[in-house]
Amino acid sequence: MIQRPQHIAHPMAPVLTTARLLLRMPRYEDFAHRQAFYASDRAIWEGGPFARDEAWRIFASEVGQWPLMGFGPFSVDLDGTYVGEVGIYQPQGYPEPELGWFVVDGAEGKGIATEAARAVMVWAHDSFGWDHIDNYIDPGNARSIALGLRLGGVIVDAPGVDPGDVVIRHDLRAAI
Amino acid sequence: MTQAFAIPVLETPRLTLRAPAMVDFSAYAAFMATSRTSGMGGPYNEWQAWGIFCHDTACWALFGHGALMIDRRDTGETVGQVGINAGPLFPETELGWLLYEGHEGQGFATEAARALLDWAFSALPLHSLVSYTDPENLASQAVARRLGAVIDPGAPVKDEGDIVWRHHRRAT
Repeated sequence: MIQRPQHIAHPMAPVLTTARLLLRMPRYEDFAHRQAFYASDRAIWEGGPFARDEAWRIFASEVGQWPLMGFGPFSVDLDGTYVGEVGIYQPQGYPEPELGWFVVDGAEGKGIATEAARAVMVWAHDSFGWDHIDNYIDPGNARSIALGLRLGGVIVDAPGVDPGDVVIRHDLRAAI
Repeated sequence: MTQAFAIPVLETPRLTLRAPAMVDFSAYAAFMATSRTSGMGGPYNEWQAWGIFCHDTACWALFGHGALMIDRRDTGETVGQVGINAGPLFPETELGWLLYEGHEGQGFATEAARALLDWAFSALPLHSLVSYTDPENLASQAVARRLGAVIDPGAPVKDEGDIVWRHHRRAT
């Protein structure tokens, strides 16, 4: 099992940069994109679609993980424009901190989530010493499963959140 | 670029107000599961309580104001929470408070809310903010009155039937 850090070194997201992307603390203006995503059919794999109030509760509660846990969502900018979110999430009921991602409509298929997820995994390993991190993915969400596997993850028999979740484990000890 | 935020620690004669932490969640969830939260839309199950706990903490990062836990300085005991909320769930920037079972009737909510209100008016560009009370929650209405708030009959409500109390920046 990987554990939450005892000491909170990061009460907000640090800035991480990759070849194309800038990862940063979420801000209020990012919510409009999450609201649009949650209102769409793409949100069915997250238990949606959700109306605005429920989308806000989810967005805000994830942001609140930073001061409470020292990890959470990173908003992802490409050329100064918000294109999605990659982060580490552990709401009530999650067996371990989980790696998750979301890319806005129109920014898919460019390797954005892959590039951002690699940066977050390196950061998590360096910051917390975790040897692995898992994704919990609905078995119908083929696109996310493919991304998890493309990142080098392997499907393991471990507890997820909902019954039937596909759990994909990433080995953080390997050079990423 | 991301703006840094800092969660303040506020001291009053009897209380310390400080950032929520994971260790606070079990007592908070226990309180939220009781009928004492019926005036604020409860009772809430653990999952709902988690969402609200995180949301109210996240407001610090998203708006520069948010929730603080209330600790007694003499015993160190956590007796409740006070907070300033905003976002789509609130028609206006809102000051709220709650006290855990057994800590009512000692003026803790008023003392904590007064400290947060004073902080807000000095740290934030606000001219006024509001509190929503359930018409049956006489204790909370008494707190609002002691804080110097006045009923604003024209203000939009959060929940049907709410009384809206308006806090104005005090003349200095």
